[in-house]
Amino acid sequence: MAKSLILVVDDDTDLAENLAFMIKTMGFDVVTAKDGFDGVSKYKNFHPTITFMDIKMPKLDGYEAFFKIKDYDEDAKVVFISAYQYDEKRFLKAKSMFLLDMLTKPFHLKEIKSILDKYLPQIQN
Amino acid sequence: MVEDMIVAESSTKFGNYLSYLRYTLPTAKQLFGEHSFRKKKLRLHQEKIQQMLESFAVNGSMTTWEMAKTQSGYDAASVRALDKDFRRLLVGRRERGKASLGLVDIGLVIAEPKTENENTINSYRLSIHGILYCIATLELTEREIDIMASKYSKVLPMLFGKWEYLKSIIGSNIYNLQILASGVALDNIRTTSISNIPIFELYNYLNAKYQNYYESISENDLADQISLWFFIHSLTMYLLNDGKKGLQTWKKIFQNDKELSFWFFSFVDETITFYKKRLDSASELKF
Repeated sequence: MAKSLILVVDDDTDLAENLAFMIKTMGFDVVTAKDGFDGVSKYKNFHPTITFMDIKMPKLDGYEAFFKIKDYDEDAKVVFISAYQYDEKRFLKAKSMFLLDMLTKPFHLKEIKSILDKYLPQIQN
Repeated sequence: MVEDMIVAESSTKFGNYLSYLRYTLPTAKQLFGEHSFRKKKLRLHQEKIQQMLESFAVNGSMTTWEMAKTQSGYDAASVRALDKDFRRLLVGRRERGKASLGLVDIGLVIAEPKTENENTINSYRLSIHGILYCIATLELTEREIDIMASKYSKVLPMLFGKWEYLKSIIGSNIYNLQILASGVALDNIRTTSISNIPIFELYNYLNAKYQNYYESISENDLADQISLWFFIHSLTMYLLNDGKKGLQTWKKIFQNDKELSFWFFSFVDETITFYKKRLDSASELKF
């Protein structure tokens, strides 16, 4: 069975690198992106199984990147990772478009494992 | 033969690990492919290069003639044509006034001159950068990585030279070498929040120690740097997954191998000395 590919979109490239390390040690492939535009482009290129998306990012924020990804692929599985919701209206809109989950920063890297353990089997089935 | 492999000295065409991350890996991916030719179609030139690198990975040091024979049997004309092709891929060529870099120029492959019957011929093998690029990109199976470890045990003595022993302790976690090879260095400030164990400081000293060797580094020094990086990566993984309990598991690596233990913990002692010295001079900041 092919390895699942996880996309991590975060302008905090140190955090993205550590997330990539954690996820790779779990046996998955990882691609990282440093802003919303990069994230949308990499989503279209790599079709990841799950995307972890920061909200506050330069060039294109996480909400807009989420909406663009959902326009491209309505079944896209996206988890926001952020310190705060930042915009309640767009958050509710994202929820109505089946945002998979929300992880609040700061979080322990192990919480990423919990998210993947929870959702990957559902997605793969 | 593994025993005949000459460990390359300085004035090499490859630099430290940072140089691999910033120059060799992105350049090799751009020229020779970002993924394995088995995963997605590549240009013919890229496919030939990757097949050649794969051949070096599982066969070790070879002349271009030997490589050509493995690929085309004993048909002399085909072997000669392939031999010429391989030499061009290794040393580059000039076409219509434009030079294209070969594998030796990029630093993925090392030429080892050998004298036979008064003739000097070149044997070729992967450099450490080449080993890392193969692991990162070619989607080698675990078996192929095991074979490569045995062929290159003299090039990376503290990692490939201890491969089977390490596998007996950490199991399939050994193949996390792929993470290091793909460019996930972890030498960033966020690592300080993983544990009180000073992994950030270990990574940073590892960078500081070899910082003057960005353009060119001796193979022995690079072998040390990469191998140390692997063991610190392993430590980070065990700490992330199991905290203090993970630390005890990781320490088992060094329990039954005195050479490995001396080598690694000498580095830890160097790290402590480095930071002590620097922090002591912080007192000069005060009145």
